[in-house]
Amino acid sequence: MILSLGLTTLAYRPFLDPLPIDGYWMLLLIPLVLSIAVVYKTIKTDRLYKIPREASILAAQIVAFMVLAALALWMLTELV
Amino acid sequence: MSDPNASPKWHFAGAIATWLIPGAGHFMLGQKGRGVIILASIGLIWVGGLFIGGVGVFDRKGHPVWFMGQMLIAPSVLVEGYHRSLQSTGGLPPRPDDPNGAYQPSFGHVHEQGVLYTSLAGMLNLLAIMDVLYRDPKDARHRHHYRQLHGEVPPEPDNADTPETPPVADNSGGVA
Repeated sequence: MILSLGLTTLAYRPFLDPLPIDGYWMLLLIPLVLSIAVVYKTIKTDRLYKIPREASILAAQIVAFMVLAALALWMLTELV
Repeated sequence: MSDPNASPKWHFAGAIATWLIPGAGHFMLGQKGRGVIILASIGLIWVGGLFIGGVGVFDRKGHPVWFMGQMLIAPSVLVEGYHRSLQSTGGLPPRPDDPNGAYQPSFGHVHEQGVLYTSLAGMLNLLAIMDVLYRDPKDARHRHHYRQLHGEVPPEPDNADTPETPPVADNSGGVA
């Protein structure tokens, strides 16, 4: 496994080849949600010093509702 | 004294600048802090998507609907052209482990994440374009900035951007 990972890293060409991150792709949703919240609040907020707090709240809300939606869908498929 | 309401509302040059470089339109309108934040946020997820999935995430023929989102940032069009040239000519730098290795585009979750990152970057840039394109002088976010442009209030540091008006003192005595 280490050998194959080493070969993969050796063969990797940034911006040409995909990153070998299939195992934890879900974690990549967190920076995406943060960016969406920051850009949205940057456009909507009247003063810039409010952005960190409001963007953090919005990002937390998005993640929370994603988790709730995932739980609801899991219950729908597994329990019903 | 000029009327802030007489200021131009439509900024086509700023919108085009935002399409070319996210945040550039806000920078042109004098909202440098806002422009820098937009450039950093959108640029980060666009470059992140390209880094995660490689140039293969820009594929106009493979997923045209996603590409409509991606092309809302101008550099996506250039990268897509580069990707097509790689596919057609095979002119790739050799792989360190295999000099004759063929180009292999991303697939699966990694490809999906790359496409998602770059498409969302484009759609967020559309928000920024719309924000620059039409700016209502009556809007609290813009009113102070227009007054600054017309010299009615002194300019403020870049990080202050569009401050609100100071609170008015209540002289009514507060007795009902």
